[in-house]
Amino acid sequence: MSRRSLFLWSASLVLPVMLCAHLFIGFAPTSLPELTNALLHFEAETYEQAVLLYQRVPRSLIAVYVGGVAAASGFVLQSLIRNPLASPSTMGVNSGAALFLVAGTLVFDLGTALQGVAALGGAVFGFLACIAVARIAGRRNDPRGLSLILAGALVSMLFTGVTNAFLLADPARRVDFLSWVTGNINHAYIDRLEVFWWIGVLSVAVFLVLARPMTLILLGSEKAASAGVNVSLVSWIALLAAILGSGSAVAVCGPIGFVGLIVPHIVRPFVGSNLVFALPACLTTGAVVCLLADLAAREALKPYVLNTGLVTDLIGGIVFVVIVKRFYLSPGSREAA
Amino acid sequence: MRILVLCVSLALAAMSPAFAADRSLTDDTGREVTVPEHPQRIVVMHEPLLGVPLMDLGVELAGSYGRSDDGTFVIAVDFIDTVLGEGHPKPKGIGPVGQPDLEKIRALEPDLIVASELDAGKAEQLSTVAPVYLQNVGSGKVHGFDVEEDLAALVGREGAFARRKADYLDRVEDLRAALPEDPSGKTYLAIFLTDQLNVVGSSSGMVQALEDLGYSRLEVAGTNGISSGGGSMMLMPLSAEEFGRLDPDLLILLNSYMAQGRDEADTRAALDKLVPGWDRFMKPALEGRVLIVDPARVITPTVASAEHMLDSLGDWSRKER
Amino acid sequence: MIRRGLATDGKRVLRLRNGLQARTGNLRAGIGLVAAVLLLAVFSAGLGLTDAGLSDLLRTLSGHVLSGEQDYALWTVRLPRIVLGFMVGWSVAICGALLQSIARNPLADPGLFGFSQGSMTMIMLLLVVTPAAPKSLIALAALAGGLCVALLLIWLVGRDRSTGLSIVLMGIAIESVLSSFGSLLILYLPTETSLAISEWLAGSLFQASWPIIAAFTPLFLLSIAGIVLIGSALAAYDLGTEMAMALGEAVAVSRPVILLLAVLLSASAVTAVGPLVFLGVLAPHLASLISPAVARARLFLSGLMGGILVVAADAVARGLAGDIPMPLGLSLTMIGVPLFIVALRLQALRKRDLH
Repeated sequence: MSRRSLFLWSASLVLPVMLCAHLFIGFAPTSLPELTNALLHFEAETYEQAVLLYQRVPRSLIAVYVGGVAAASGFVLQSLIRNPLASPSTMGVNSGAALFLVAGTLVFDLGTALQGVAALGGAVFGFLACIAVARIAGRRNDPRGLSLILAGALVSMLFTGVTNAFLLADPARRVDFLSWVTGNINHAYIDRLEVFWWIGVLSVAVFLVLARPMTLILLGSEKAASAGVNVSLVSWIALLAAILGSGSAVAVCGPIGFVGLIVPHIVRPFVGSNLVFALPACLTTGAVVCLLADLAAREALKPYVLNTGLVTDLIGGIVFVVIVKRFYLSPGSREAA
Repeated sequence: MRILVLCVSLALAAMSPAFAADRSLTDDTGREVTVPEHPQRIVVMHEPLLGVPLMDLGVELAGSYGRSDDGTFVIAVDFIDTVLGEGHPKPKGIGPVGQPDLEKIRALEPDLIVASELDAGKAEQLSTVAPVYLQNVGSGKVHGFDVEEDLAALVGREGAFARRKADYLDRVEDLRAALPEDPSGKTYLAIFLTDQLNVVGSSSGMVQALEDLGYSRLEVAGTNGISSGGGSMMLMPLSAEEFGRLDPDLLILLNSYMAQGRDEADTRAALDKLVPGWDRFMKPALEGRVLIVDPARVITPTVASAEHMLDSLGDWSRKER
Repeated sequence: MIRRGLATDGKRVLRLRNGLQARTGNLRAGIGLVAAVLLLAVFSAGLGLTDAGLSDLLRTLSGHVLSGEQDYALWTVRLPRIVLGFMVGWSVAICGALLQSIARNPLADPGLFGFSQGSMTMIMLLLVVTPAAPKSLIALAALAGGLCVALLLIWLVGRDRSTGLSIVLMGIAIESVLSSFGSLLILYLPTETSLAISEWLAGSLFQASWPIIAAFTPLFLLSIAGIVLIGSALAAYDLGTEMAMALGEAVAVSRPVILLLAVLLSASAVTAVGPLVFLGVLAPHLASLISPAVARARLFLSGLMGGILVVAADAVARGLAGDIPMPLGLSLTMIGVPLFIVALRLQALRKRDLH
């Protein structure tokens, strides 16, 4: 079996295992039969069953959604922008969405659906801001697309600062938003998922439809154009889908960083860059990674909960260092100024 | 004739407040401050924690941080109206949130500024206007309505505080007699609902009332020994799963200030969102040991808040019977 | 004797006896910026609740005595804020310009490298443990935090042959880890402490006072001395590390020194006012738009521009915002971002004109 199919098969096996782990770890082993029973019949008669059905299942759903959408968006961004460090969190998409949502809620008192619209708008705005800031560096000495990442980090810092200032202006509502702003996978947000889930599903569908054209574009724009692919249209639609998908994930549970950056790097060595195979792999692996992070956040400091966003930021930052060392500091890349 | 003039001038001098002595004190962070004996114009840097206790003692405030120019408070809940009742004169604002305006403070001509230990960085600048006294308000450092007691000593109203406390203690005894069961030895757990479950700290009138009645806080220790609240430093939210398994003798729920409402139905709905099915499975809910309180009334470290808590407890126990 | 001449690229210069030369374009820009600073300072001194301004100050020179509140407003509140704001803006802008030369990328910024994050994290930890720490201890903590990050950067990046690219990327990685740690603190501390820390994170000139200015002045003078001494080295750095070494620049010595100066400037700015995001990128960029310069002239112009921006932000926050909460960081963003967009447009137009 080729490496690729091995990876795909194992990923699709690991996902249900991880899901079960996420749902069941933390309960006493003796209660497992009745828990599975409750899951199958969807009725809760004891407190444990209620926790399973009404707290853990929503949480798993949100984690799978966010992980999958972020990883797929990250892979698409990295392919289209041809930059191994591109991802929704490093290009200002997540922080832009968070800023617009917080500003909209605090200033205009938006309801949940309109908050989502604000988040989507903010995601697009964040991306455009990142590109605009990157322009001042020009491209003369930038073969690796470094300026885009710098610009993204700068824009993220800026937007986060402005969000912080907004929250300060309203001390009472600040308490409500503070944990959301750092990325909080919380079963209480299942009502948000109910409103926004179709956006992520739609963007993933767009990716899967455009997977082959995108792979052709990856091989080279001229080759793709000669094969009949409308390069600019496909690129723009896919980018927009990636940005809006990430925006919807932010609207549900706040900006969860680094999943979109790291999962493509896990997937690519095994599956290659062909999006037809890589996208499903990213979806499953992203879901697995997010479930794992959420499990760690939930169980590490019992009975207190840690925010999943903080866990992904902390661990993701360290993995980011490893990626940078591998890609940019390996001996072969040192010659380029 | 000269003796008469002397006596009259002495009498006048004795009555004149301008000659009141200044005292030299050490505030809660160790700074030496020279404070007037009976401050007339006080500016506070935190209205719920410092301003309301002072007003509860009968002191009128000149200015307070968090009031805007048109007299409204920065958050939707006005603590003065809620805790002390309507009709009290409101202090003036000293600048928007996050930016106290020194010129505005000076225009109010304060003779004392009361701030919390968290404003230590601002103390030097504030002391260019008036002496600054830093009072501890953090949860680990003060308990119940200690803040009001300390401030009473600061402004020379110990007598007023003693009277308030005596009345309050009488009411505690009355309530204790009226309760069906003796509360001593029972446990309580107070939770503040936002989008997570936050255990309420120990510096509020509510906690004072409960502990004077005899309740003690439920220890929420985890398997790795993290004690309730994570010590005095951190304040982590409680896991919703663990919460459903807890069984305090009295469960108290407070809904966030910005929620749609702080009455019973809204609070129950808010908790249902966080811990679905709690009213079906939690022992306190099944046995009717849940008390829902308006946080704005009971959260300030004042005798008035403690009395509101007693009222709520009394109403609730009567309804339960 | 000052003589006029022409530089090798045809631009006018002024030459001094000892060989020092300065382009007239840069000189004019510098003088213009200084004039702008003074005008802005005068305008800003008149903003606020009390009715006092420059005219009152001038009258004191002729013996007139100000009323108590006018004197207070001018000397205790407004002037310290303006002076400290200028010095802090100057420091951050120069720090940004230094880092941009070392990293050879116009987007380098002390916040991006993690220096200001390191200082902030250290200060936050200190404030959590002892909220009433004295100012000197806070300054030391900020410096220690910045130095730790610098050392970590150097360790992660490796030998002195490494490129600006790697430093910047590592800086971003460190910055994100530290900022998540900061979010942890803000999230899990009791509300009042968390609010106090967040207020400080938003940037504030509230604590500006003459003693703090006096403490900051040696650093200000040091930065001027640094510019004069290091300035020539920066021109070599702009060409790249290898080129700089080929030109005889002792990279192994001067790069750590430049980094150290940058850390010092950034840490003191963070201590005095809190983190000012984006200023380190914005000010040098705007300055180069007014007059493209290299090395020393670039540093001076960037510093002046940074000072102008902060003084303007303070004027907005104090005078024009009224009852709306407007921390310094936010007003700096509100002034800076439109200017930045305008600068981008002008740059694009200029590029088009050149073709």
